[in-house]
Amino acid sequence: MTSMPPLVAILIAALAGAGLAVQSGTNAVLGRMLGHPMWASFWQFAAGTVLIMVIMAVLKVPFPAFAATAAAGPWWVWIGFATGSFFVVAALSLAPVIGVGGFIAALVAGQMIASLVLDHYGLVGLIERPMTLARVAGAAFIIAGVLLIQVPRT
Amino acid sequence: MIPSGTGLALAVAAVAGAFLAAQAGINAQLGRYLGHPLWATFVSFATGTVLIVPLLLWWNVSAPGFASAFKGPWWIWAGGALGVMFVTSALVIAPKTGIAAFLAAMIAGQLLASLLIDHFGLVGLPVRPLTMTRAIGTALIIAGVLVTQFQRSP
Repeated sequence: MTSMPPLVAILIAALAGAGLAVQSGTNAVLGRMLGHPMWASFWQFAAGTVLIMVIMAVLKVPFPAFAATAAAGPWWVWIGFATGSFFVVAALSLAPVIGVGGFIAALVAGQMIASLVLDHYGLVGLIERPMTLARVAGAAFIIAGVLLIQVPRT
Repeated sequence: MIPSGTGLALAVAAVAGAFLAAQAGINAQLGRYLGHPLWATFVSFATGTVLIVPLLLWWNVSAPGFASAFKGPWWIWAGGALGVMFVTSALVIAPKTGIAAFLAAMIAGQLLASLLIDHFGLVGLPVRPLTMTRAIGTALIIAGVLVTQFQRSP
């Protein structure tokens, strides 16, 4: 696990992204059937919570060091969930204003720019990976590609 | 709380993206403190579940229509599992590859899958055939992923 080949890591990342695309579709249908998109989000979090407990029980993952983490860990280790919840609320309230395409384009732009900065300074516990011209160009390609895909068809 | 200006809406969407970029690093660090990456996934989903409840109340969302949803296809319930897969792979892989490289691959997988889903009208979505603009956009994104990945190889 410590020596995962980069290609494998990248392929898993791409697969996880594909899973997200499928999830947007399944959640849209579920939200429609349940009567509100928030119920689909609720199901996703609740079912995910149960599923992860089952997986940990099967794998016999030892009980976590909650107390030690609360005492020794930096405060920001606890805010990961808030970023996810912020995203759900932002998606539901902004997509009607700027369209799903506009929302996705702005989201990806924010993601790529922030990720270059996080890597560059080695923030939130990451290894420092300097912002090179190639990395900036790569991020620019991705943002341009997302913008092109979101162009409304005539 | 819902911004009316398009520029402000785009900015908030970009901030949501930036938070999502930080999430993988934050959760990886939480998993390290708690002793196992799956515990970070658990915290993410359990707190997300709890946080959605006040939102449901605040927005006066009416009770879910389980009767109709139970008659729907099985895959409408897959969101929870796909979410767990995504959050876990993000917090395991992003520290190894860096956030930018992980997100680049994730976005590429997400958009490739979206194009396939749209093209064939999968998971209950309308058929939207692949256009030249969308194909070029996807090619740009994949080029961006490659540029981001390979500039670091020795």
